[in-house]
Amino acid sequence: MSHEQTEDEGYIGCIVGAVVQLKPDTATETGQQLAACAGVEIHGEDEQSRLVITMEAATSKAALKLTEQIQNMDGVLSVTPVYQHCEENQQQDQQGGWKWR
Amino acid sequence: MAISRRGFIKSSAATAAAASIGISLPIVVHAMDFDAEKNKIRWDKAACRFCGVGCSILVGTKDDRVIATQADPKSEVNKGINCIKGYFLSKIMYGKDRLTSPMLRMKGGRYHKEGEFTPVSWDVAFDIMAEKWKKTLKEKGPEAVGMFGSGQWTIMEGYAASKLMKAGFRSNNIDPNARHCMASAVGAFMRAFGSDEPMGCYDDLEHADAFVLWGSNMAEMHPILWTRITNTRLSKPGAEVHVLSTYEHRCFDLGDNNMVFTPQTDMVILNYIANYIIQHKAYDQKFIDKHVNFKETATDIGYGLRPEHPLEQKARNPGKGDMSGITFEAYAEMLKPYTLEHAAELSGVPKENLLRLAQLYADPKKKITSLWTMGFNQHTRGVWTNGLLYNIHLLMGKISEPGNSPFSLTGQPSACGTAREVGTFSHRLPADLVVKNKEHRDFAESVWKLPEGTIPAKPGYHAVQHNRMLKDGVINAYWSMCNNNVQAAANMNEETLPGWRNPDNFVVVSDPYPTVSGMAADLILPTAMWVEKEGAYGNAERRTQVWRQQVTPPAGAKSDTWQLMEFSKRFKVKDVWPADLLAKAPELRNKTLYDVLFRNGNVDKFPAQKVTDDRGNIYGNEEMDHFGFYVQKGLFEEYRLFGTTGPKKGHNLAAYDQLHVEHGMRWPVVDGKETKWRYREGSDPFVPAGSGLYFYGNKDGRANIIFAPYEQPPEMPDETFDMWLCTGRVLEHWHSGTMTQRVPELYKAMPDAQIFMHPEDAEKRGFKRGDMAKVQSRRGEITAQIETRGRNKPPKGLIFVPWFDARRLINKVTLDATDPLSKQTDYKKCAVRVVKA
Repeated sequence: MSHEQTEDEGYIGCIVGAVVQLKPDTATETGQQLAACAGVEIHGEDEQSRLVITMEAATSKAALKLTEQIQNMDGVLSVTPVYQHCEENQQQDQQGGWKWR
Repeated sequence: MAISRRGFIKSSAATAAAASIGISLPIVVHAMDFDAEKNKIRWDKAACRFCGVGCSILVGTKDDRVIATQADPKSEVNKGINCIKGYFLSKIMYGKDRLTSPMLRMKGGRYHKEGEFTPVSWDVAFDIMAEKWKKTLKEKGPEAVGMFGSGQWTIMEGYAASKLMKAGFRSNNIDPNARHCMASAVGAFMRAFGSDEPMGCYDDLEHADAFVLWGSNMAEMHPILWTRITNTRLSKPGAEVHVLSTYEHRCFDLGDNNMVFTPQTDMVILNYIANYIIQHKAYDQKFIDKHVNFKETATDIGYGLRPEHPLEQKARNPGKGDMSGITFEAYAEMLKPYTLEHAAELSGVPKENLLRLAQLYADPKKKITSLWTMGFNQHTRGVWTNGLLYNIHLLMGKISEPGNSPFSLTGQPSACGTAREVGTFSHRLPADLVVKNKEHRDFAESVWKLPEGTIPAKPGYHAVQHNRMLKDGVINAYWSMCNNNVQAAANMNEETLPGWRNPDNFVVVSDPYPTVSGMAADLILPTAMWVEKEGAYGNAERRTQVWRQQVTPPAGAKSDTWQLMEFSKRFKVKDVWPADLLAKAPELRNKTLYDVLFRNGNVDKFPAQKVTDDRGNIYGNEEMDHFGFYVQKGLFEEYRLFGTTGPKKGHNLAAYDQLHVEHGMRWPVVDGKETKWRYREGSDPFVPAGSGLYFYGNKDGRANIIFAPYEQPPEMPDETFDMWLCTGRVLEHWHSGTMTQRVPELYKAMPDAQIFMHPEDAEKRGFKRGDMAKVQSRRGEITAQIETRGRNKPPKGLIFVPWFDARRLINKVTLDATDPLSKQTDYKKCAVRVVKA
């Protein structure tokens, strides 16, 4: 089965559940910023300023980018992924490493 | 329907994340049940392939491919959370350039040192290898063969390799890459406590009131443990974090007392704290009287360089580790020069920060966990420096109890479980035994059912010597498994490459991927990795974790265990052992090393069986299919005899079958019960009743406080080479990048190694951010981009360069000076200059 197109209705891409630890004194503002990120959904929080989020992205590359974006936000102490499901095109370009000669 | 399937996966993801912090969500979905049912994903536990933390991961497999991973909610290590490396764990096996055929350098249809890499069969590969090994053994004896192993080997792989080398080929020239990583920690454990590995465990991270980081960037290197520290810091009133480093890194974000010190002066700071404790009479007199001895160590011990190096010639006691007993008063006197003023002057750390740190350690009410990794270990005085920290904890009695814990972290998933516990070092045997001790050798030979005298008494060459001996043509047949030492070893230009490319030598590399080491070798063997085989790892808190084979390896790739055992079939005992040894066991003459080592009634004790879990899933096991018995279980159970019946107590591992059920157990495990705090009565079953605490690794049950002075590093900045160079890792890449650089996402996040430099240093040299520059030392140079704003912020006078990048090999520049006691290389400091490219 080919997953060339992300609009293919069977295409899952990368779905991630994560916990985001916010700096407690700026948690409200940071939480609002986070909710505004495309692909991010906030599902709950606890009294220690930890948010439960899901991230949805077409590829795991995009999911990592999103994670980094959140990690680098002011007011975010850490992002810890918990669950990741990636079903993407297996023929995707594998970069890095050595080209076999 | 795609929508509902997506919805369910999302619910699974959210529910798992919520569960990891103990909250419940309004969505009620039994995600795993749904997945298992509807998506036909099979879930099973495995230990993470990457760092020494040892997280447990649930691996989701569909159609013989890993497609999902979840942090194991039942894991006491990661408590249901992952880090970014774990996030892409499922992808490390699926790089495009996985090796599937042995590759031999050939010219004109046969092996040639200068030939081109050509695919050959396993038979051809082992033929040429066996020919080279036999020739070397015949002409020069066992000391001319060598093996470089790994803290990423599974426990069984390391055990099989060690046995093949030490008992089969009778060569102690086997050393793991853990020599670059953990050797100083091991040396200090043995000297202070007479037994390797930490007394505490990760539970300390919740029990402690304060954390002190001594040369460890946990936020990037051990993110899961850092998350646990963050939780404690934010949730426990009065909790504090102190961070010491030679440059500013991400841990400083959480730090309450941040200190950047001049390289090597951690020794001065440690002695200052001990001096402060004594001057203020803050020490725990009762604890000292009952549990501690005082010693001093031989000084001016050189830098582990070649003997003809001027610095070795100059040293009074090169390589000496002798200790002699002293009194408490003498110890106090030796510490006197280490005043606050002196420490501040040498280290460059403001007095108030140092004083705050000293007061913290001296406060009897504060529970302190001290943590370190390569900052202490990759240090030309690494053993001493580890010891100086134990001194402080021992003076205060802050040890072996919840929250009070000097804790040596590790870098590799089984640096402890394999390299240290199995003893794949050139001087060690399993369970803290050593080759030079006759009683220990006798015991190992009895477990292995081999004649007395099989194991050579002389320690083999250690890791750094391997490359020197290859260069000098002393070692001629060499096998490197499960690591990338050409990239990892220091001083590549002068030692490593000339050694590997020496025409007298035949070098074999086993790896799943082509690496720098593979390119420098003569034969590359394609290797099955991680969950393509059944395995076990041991993490930094003494926890042993076992996993089942989850997927079939790519056709042609074979596990290290398969390679070692299959290769051993090519040798007859009579071709390898000397006449006097054969005379002691003539019945072994015509047997193969395989028969003697692996069909000895122990390793082949457990017949082939179906591997299943309690949910009725069935798993493959390539090695069991091939050899006809349960290889992993047999190797593990034979190895376990060293802990349960050996001469050194307290190394009992759990039974193999129990480890398949539990999510890891911390040794010593006695009567199915693990040990959280070693040496403490009530927690450790080996502590005699009524003693409270007993350091049973030493004969008198006491730990050693060992005085060692500050001594300068071998190379410091001068007029020509005016800056310090420090190397290390970054979050996205793990070690030399062999696996992580194949995950395109990780590669793009941190594509090229950079030169992290203070903006003023850059300006002074006319660099703008992004300019290309050369880093030059007395040994070599590399070219890379200047980064003045990155997440690592060096002080003026120091640059930081990560070492994962195969195209920018910083180890052309680094110095191969080692700790003379542990033989571990100091990658953290040498003198360089940075000039325009």
